[in-house]
Amino acid sequence: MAETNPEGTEASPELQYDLESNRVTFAIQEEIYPRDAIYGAAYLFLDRCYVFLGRPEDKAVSVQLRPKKGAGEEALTDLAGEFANELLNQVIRFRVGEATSRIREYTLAKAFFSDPGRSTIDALLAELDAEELDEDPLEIEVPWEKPADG
Amino acid sequence: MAEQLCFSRSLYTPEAVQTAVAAFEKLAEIQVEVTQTEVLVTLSQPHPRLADTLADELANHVLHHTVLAERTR
Repeated sequence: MAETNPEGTEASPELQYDLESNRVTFAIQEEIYPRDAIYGAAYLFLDRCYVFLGRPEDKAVSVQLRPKKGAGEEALTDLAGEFANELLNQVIRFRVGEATSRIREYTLAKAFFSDPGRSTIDALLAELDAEELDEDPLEIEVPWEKPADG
Repeated sequence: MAEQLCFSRSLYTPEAVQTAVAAFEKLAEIQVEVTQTEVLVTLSQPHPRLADTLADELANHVLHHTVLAERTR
C-alpha cells in the first residue's frame, strides 16, 4: 500500500492515501480495482464512516472516509489499512465470482430444470414395465397354474 | 451557509440522488441540478442539530441507493 503521510513522504507503492484532519482519502485506479469492488468495500464502511466517492480523473476513483466518531491519526491509519484489505477482499470475491459464473449458472439451471424425484419415479415405472405387470398384475404365484412336471 | 455536494454520474446514479434527497427534504432546503457528468446537490438551512453531518449523511444514503441499484442491475 502506498501511504502518503501528512509530511508527504511516500511509504510504499501500491495505493495512496492522504491523512487530513480526521479524514482518509484514497486514489484508486479502476483498472486495478474494479468499480464493483470499490462499491463493495465502501458499502461495508457506511455504518461507521461518512464515505464519498469522487472522479478525479478518467478511470480513477477517489474514496474519502471520515469516521462518524472522531478518530486520531493512528485510528485513521488503521482505517486506511482496513479499507485497503477490504478492497483486496472484494477484488478477490469479484474475480472468483466472474471465474465461476458459468459453473454457478450451470448448477442452478440443472437444479431448476431437472426433477430428480420425477426421474426416480420414471425409473421405477420403467422397471415395473419391464416386469410385464399387465400379464400378471398381482405378481402372486398361483400354484395350480404351475405346469405339471414330467 | 449553503453546502454543495458534487456526485459524479459515473459513480452515482441520479435516481439514487433523488431517492436520498426525497428522504432528507424535511431536514434542509435542498436543490438538485443534473448536468451531463454530475449531479449537484445544494443544501441550505439545515436542521440546526444536524448541520454538521447532514451533507455527509445524505452522501452515505446516495451511495447506499447507488450500490443497491448496481447489485440489482
